Amino acid sequence: MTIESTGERESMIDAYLDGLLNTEKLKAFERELEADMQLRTEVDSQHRVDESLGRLFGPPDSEQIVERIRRTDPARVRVVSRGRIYLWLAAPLAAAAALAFFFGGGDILLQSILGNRNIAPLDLSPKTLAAIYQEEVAGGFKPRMVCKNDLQFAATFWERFGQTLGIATMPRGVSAIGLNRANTITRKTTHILVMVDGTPVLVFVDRADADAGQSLPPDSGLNLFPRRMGELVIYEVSPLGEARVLEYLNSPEYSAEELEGAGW
Amino acid sequence: MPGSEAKADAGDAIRKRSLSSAEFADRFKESFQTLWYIAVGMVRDRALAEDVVQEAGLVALGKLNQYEPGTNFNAWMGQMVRYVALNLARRERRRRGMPLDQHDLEQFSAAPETANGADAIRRSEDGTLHADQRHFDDEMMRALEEVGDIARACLLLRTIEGLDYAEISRLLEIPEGTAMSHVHRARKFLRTRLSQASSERGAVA
Repeated sequence: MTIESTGERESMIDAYLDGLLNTEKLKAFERELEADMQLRTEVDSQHRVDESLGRLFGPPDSEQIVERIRRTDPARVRVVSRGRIYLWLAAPLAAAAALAFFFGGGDILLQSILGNRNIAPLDLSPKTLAAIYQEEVAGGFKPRMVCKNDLQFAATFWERFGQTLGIATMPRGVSAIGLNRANTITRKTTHILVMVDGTPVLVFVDRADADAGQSLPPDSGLNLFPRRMGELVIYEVSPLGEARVLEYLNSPEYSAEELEGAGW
Repeated sequence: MPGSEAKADAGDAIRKRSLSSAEFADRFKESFQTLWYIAVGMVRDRALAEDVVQEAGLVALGKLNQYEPGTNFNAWMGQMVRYVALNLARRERRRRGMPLDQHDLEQFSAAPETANGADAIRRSEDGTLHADQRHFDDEMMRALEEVGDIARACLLLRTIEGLDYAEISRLLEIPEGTAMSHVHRARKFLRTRLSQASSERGAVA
């Protein structure tokens, strides 16, 4: 068999790669490969392409995503137009406009959302730390998520980044409001909204191995305080001259059962 | 006949019962890899693809009563993944201020706009790549920008997941011949582009 035309050559290469050649044609093609260097080069090139695709797009570990699916109550999934999903947090508390929370004992009262069923769509376009800070302040510094206790807080970070995060008792005047998420270090970066003596402070958290380093524009009026904790990289962004939250962060220990059962 | 009536009744009962959420999670896990390749083929960004697969799973969880047990679960989930991926593509196009016509959407190739680009490349277990492989993979990502999203998904499902064209056709709801054509054209395009890039770099392709 001799491959005459370019089109025929390409068809044979595809049939060979797809395993669609019968025994006789396969043997003939393999003989052709040995004799025709150009053909061999093309097939080798394809193998190289396929290897690269495997490196680039091999699947991640599915466990975290599958576990998230397992822990979600189908009755709480609302799918609105264009397939946006809102996990309706059916608060057991009576409707209340004000948000009440405190750390210290570590209890965070669940924000009542009975008057706010449709949470605004999450914008995951890439943004800088400074931009997120400006947006949060301009938007009234309101969190998207409020954890009901320390376990749920720790589980949120464990689920996203594989490591728990906790906040020790903070002094009077320093209080965490809740969590939000934005595409800064990665699409999963989570930030904690904290008020420090009336000043808004953000604490960004993500996996250290996903971080190439962060900075702030010199004219932003903000300061950047980094910290590495195990697998996590943490950045406190604040107009204050020193870090006021980082020292209170820790990585508490919980069992897998406790963390898996902490769901929303 | 009484026996066949009983069988028919049992069959009807099976068909009418929806999947439980636990059963769905098990099926979702089994299908994860296939759904991943659809997602990452369409959006070309690993972190975004994880979000797509997770969001598609949640969408499907909310619509379990619409899935008929015994029918092709992967095809049903494939619909969800494509729907979510397309919505993300629309949002991305809007964000960039670009037109939303169907042709553009089909040709959409999202740049992997993670802050540091690290998510775009999966590293070997010891965290290193040969320099030549790194260059090749970088060129591959650039070349894939010019391959349509459905064509990329077909290519990954055939090349890495090893599905035949009939299954790809069912998953993506396109004719089998179209799936085959996508794969063959994409292969040819990538071979040619990457060989040119290697020649320009002076490396042996």
